[in-house]
Amino acid sequence: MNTGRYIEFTNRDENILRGILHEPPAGKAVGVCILLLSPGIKGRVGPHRLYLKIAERLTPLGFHVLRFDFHGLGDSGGEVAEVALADMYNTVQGGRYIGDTVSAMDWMAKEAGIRRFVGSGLCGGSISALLTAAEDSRIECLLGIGIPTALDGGPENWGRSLTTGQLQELRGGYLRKLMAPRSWMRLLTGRTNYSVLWRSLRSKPAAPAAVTPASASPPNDNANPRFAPAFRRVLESKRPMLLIFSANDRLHHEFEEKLERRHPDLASQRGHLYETAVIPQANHVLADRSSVAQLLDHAERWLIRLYHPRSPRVEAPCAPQGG
Amino acid sequence: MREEHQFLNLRGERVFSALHLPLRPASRAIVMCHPLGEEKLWAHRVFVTFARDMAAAGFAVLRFDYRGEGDSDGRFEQSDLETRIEDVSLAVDSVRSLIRSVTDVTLLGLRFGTIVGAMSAVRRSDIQRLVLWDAVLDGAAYMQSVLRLNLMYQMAQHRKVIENRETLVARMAAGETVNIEGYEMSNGLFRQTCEIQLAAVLSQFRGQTLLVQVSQGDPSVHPEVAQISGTIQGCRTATVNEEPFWREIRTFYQRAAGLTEATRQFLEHPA
Repeated sequence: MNTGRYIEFTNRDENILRGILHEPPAGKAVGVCILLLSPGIKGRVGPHRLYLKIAERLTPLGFHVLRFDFHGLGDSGGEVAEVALADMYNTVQGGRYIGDTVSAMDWMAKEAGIRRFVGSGLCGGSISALLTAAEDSRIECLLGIGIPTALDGGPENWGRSLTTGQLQELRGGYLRKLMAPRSWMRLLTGRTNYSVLWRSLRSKPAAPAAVTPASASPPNDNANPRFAPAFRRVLESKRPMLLIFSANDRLHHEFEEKLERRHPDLASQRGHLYETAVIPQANHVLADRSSVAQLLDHAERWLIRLYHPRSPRVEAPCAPQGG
Repeated sequence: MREEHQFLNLRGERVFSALHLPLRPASRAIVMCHPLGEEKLWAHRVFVTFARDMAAAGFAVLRFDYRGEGDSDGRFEQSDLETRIEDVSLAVDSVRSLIRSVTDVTLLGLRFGTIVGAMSAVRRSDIQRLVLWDAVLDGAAYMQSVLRLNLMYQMAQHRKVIENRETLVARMAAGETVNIEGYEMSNGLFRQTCEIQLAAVLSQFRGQTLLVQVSQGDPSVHPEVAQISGTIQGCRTATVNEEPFWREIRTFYQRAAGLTEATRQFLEHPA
């Protein structure tokens, strides 16, 4: 694997942030850096070294790839005050690492002369990229992987904010287990989440046309209030986005139900200013070779279309507005 | 304290390392051996804060990534127990060459890192101490728990087990790899680890060992741990109360105060 070179820089609070910069082959640089922002607390390598696999695939296309640890995480300096993981995740979804991401871009501009960026990352990394893009136009497009639309409630609150799609999937699962003695044992010994069971059995498939007005959030809603405004801002500035989701993950349901159905004006831009792709059979962290391969294929095709429009591998015209 | 992050060179392959240095020249060094796969990632911040705390206490501490993991070169499927032992050896040599004042080296491991650390210690003559956090006592039993992760993945994806343990083992024996939370495990890593009995390894170690049992409120020492400490000269045990921070838990675990204190006591007050 191309492991890049070690770099460090300071953020606004003088914490030292540490990372790895992967550089493209000599003479092939396109002058754009892909920021692979850290997911959750797993740091700059990502689960099962996903970020190294991405960097290895994208640097030959001419991109710089920067992955670094946010303050309080990985090898970086600083502290995180939150004790519960869910609370920590919620602060990320609230924009905790916008400043660190801006500092990374400042460093790249100063040290490498690069001022154009693709914001990217898995889960928390992608929401950090979106929120930063809304504030900093140097991010000229967004490659989101499993971007969370909702806040993290933690496992104890798991059942409260299930989407219609999730309830439908659970309903199918419960019905399949009707003949399984072990499932009845779980039910009778109180280990089943009765509330979720009841709601899933009562749930009906969502009508595609059903739209909840943006101003009227349903009760117990956990939609991230910062998501839609940031998404709107990036779309309005005509910066392209590719959002890749995993089929066996709640996040693509959440995106459809908590963003697209509530904001039809934004959803109408799907296929134009933003695209989505769902990787079949993939779980949240894309923990198998096939899922990773599909992720890399999606990302590569999209980036070639944006940055190498004359390449014979281009499938449809599109161009970023930044520069 | 200072931190120096750099790639060490092992016959052209790069091993990523972080050296934590105290303010004064250190005579004692700790080389940390991380656990396997995703456990390394969950435990990472605890390793970092431990290294910083111990550097503040006067120790030089080297953390590094095995080849095939973290930021080091190599692919996971090409790595095995032997490559990891080689990596530890490189790390120890580097500490000794980078800090000439070091005369005393401790290898510290967590979970799978305890096997790597113990095996490395008996292959060298210059390791004074071993500190083993939540030690893997039986390599074969540990590997069964690793294979179980694959079975759990199958259950989550297909709602049933398509390939049982025997099939997975046979596939590895035939030269294929088995996916463990996104890491492709090869037969070499599996087989070499299965052969390890920690008691047998420690019986060959001439230095001092601290076996730290991690529990969640239960102070009793596991019978196998007690047996090891009772039969192997220079082996002590301690039980600390910590959450299993090497896997996903509800707490954002940044510092293992109990493990740090037990380790510091052992290193500062050797028998």
